[in-house]
Amino acid sequence: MKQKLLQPRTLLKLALWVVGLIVLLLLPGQLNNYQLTIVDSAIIYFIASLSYTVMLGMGGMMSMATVTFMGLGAFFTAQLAKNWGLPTPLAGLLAVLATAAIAYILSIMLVRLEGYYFVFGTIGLCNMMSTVFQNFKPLSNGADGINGIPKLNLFGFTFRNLSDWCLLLVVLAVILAIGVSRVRKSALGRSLMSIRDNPVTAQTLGVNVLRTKRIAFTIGAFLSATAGMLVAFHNGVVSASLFTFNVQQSLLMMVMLGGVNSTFGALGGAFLVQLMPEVLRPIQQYLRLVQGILLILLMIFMPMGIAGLLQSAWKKISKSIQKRKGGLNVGMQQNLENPGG
Amino acid sequence: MKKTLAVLLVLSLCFSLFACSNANSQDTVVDESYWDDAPTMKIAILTALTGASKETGDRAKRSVDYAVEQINANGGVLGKQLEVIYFDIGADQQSFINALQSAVNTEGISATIGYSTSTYTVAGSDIIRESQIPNITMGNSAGIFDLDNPYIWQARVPDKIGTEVLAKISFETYNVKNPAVVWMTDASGQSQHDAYVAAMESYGATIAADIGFDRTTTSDFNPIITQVMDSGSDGLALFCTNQQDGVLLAETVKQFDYPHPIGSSSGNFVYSFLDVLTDSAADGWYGVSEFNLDADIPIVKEYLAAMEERDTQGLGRPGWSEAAYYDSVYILTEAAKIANSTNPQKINEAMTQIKDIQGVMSSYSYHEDHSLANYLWVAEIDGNDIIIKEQVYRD
Amino acid sequence: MGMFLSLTGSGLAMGMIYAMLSVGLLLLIRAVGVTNYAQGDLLALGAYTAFFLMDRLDLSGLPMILLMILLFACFGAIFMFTCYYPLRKTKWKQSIMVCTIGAGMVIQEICMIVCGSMVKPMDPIIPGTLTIGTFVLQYQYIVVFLLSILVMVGVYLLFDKVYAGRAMQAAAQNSYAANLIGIPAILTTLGTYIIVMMISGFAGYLVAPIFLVRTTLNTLQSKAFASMVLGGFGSVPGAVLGGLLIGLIEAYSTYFTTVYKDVFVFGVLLLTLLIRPQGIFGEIQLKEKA
Repeated sequence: MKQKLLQPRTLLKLALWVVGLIVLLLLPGQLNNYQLTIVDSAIIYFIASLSYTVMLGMGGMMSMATVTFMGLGAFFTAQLAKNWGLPTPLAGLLAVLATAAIAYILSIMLVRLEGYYFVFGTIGLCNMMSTVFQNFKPLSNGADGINGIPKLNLFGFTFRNLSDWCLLLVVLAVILAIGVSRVRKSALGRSLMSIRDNPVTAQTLGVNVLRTKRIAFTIGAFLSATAGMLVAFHNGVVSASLFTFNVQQSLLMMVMLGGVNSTFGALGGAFLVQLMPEVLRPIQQYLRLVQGILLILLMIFMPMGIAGLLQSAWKKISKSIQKRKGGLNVGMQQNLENPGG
Repeated sequence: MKKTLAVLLVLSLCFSLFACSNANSQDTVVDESYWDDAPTMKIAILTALTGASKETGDRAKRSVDYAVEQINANGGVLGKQLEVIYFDIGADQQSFINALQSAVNTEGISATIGYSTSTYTVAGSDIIRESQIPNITMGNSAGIFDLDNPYIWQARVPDKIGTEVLAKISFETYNVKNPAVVWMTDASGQSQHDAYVAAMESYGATIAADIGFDRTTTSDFNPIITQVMDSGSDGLALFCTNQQDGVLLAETVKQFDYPHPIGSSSGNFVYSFLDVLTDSAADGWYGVSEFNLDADIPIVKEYLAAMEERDTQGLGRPGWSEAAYYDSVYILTEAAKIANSTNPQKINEAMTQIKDIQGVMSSYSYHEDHSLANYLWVAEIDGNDIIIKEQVYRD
Repeated sequence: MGMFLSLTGSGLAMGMIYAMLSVGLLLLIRAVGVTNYAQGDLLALGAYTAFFLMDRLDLSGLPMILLMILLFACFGAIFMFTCYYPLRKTKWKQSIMVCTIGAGMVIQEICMIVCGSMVKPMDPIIPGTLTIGTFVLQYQYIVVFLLSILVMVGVYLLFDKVYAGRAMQAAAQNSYAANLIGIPAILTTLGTYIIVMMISGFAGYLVAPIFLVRTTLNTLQSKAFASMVLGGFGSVPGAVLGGLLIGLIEAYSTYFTTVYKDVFVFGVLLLTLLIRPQGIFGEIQLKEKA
């Protein structure tokens, strides 16, 4: 019975996957540099926002220090690749690991804080490091930033064109997103979500609350640092103005617009935010005004973001298909109602 | 699975949307006949149309729109009308890069003008180089020169030269032997600080106090000026912008009634700054001005009259920034005439042949370091007015 | 000695501004559980409103103050009805936060569209500077300090002594129970928003002569967050003390560094969270509204 019901759906899914992949592989070559920049930077911001998916969506921890770890990842990468002359993949890897290590140490202090205190601690961290990035020459070369970062050279292939980058970024994004999905379904993910929903109960059930939170924080920082590393290699220039509190707010916008509960949701949000200046080009003088109003309206009417919208649309479509087919398969019904993943 | 699917669909949709709109990439445009046949000459202007620096953008628009009108009324460029497209640079470096990419990838763009933040120009350098479209920037810090980018041109006199003149007059005319230096820690402030300190020390002066500040986060300058008062200096050098940091600094210095000569960066010799100050706070300041509004040059007088007529937003008298935008439009059209083409690469080559084009802010010639302006003015501020003293040609 | 006193003077005055901002933040968090990222923009809005009334409409003195207060009340109501009311039952507090970010952007742009994008000066309430030897302090700083204290005392008395204030506190702690007693949550929330707008707006009006009328006044907000943490949640006196301390720390830190003063200030914030998260006065454990 189940096999029969699933078969047309599986075929459909397969077909869509194939079409999607073909589109993704062919299109980057068709787009011009500007469009590629938009796509690339949207994907990079998406990777950074995956840290929100882990920390906020799963763990209920609202961190405002994502750009700080992005910055550390970016500046470490730049210094290691340019000034220390390390081969680029090694530089990137070390930078990300170093940032994750620093994050773990900071998390020891930060995760003890509840709710608002945690948020304010991360705000403090963000602002503090923002000043350091802006002025501390040994790390970030001060206000000038670091330019002339060597191009990423992976297995002998140098990523020079934006279209090459596009493919790499898509692959990376998918890998990392699937990784996050896996985390969500793993024991760690479940512990995290139980902490989010009710920390006291979680503790009575044997969950080590502090340790789990620390791990989640570090994973989040790892993702942000990866995004930072990609910024360094992709743009070739990094400076403090890429990692300010305003950018952090922008990131939060992307996450909320996309849907904080969905792994891929933030991708839609990132695209939306990056695309808006282009789409609203005719009224670009009022761009910020429109963005602000749009944000308010979207939060009121679509608090679960685009992903939430798609989810409820999908539910409605599936239900109406069900009704037409007559009779409800209990298994399928449960499948539909599962909000996770 | 469902979500991944939904997202792949969204991604594909986005890609397709892109591909359908604006499909022409700049790479397809290599044919010289394209440029000959194009009905207009297009220049992209990158400036701040929204956000905290919106005023800069409003001013640039006022000047550029006038330049375009004038040029088109006089027959355009090589028989074509001049068309200008504005790009908003947004609030941070990434949005500047996006805007720059958008500009250089727009079909038929012959050149770009903008922006004035040196850090952004450095960040966009590779993009400009790859696009092979000449860019005239208003930034003039040392970092831009280090790039050695054949497509980047600077409208103004380099920071270093202007600051060395400031040091010279500090030491010789105002007898400053032990200055306090207050400077903003961004690219421009840093390069001015370094040039000034180096020059003063080469004259044998000593620096009494060296105080940097982060202009994005400093509102209260009392602590800084308190330190200056305490430092035993016999002169003060201020390197700041003419935005809020400059205004606040000026007001604070006035409050403390600093008794010795005060020199400032050239950016502050502009009426948009002086008109905002209360109580003539910058009275007595000396320094180098890039734009002489009192110059007895017809094009300057015409420009000033037009700016006043077109002042719908209460912007007041124009400053060096807007004059530079205005002149840049003319420089590019002149280069196009020299090259007899609107092809960006040819315009870039023709820039090397620019000689003594008289503009509003300055006259312009090719210099090896890719900066264009030829002269500056030694100036002093009297009350709320800029008094020009002498003209200084760079060598 | 003069330098130390000058720094103390300006530090205390700045501290009161941070205090006013953080009291506003505190009230919103306590009453409605909302972290308002537009707090700094409300201050800027206050500055622009005062500028508009004085410069564009040519008002001054009592009529100006009254009209200003009336406008602040309206803005507070509008702010509540756009950013809180439609979202009051949401599960995700972050959406209200992002809403306030959007509101901040809208406020900035509208101010610049109405009043122009240039940075503007404003006449101080008492012009001039107090100079005693090496001690220099603008009179406006002293005005800021004294008037802010008055406002803070007023707020404290309101919430602790006056029935309306206690009603708002009750609704903040348990809106269901408060409703049962007959305290309508919607009115108390509205009252809170209006008071917050008035405090922040008034702070903007006080600060504008010193710091100019500009949208970037909103950067004062980060220090307000720091003040709130330092002083401790849950109390107005705490927020005031926190603000004053942050103001002083910021001023004194310039003995060591002018460039990294933010590192000092936020370093103190992080230290506080490390050693004593509830701040100096904090006793009430602030629970996030579920």
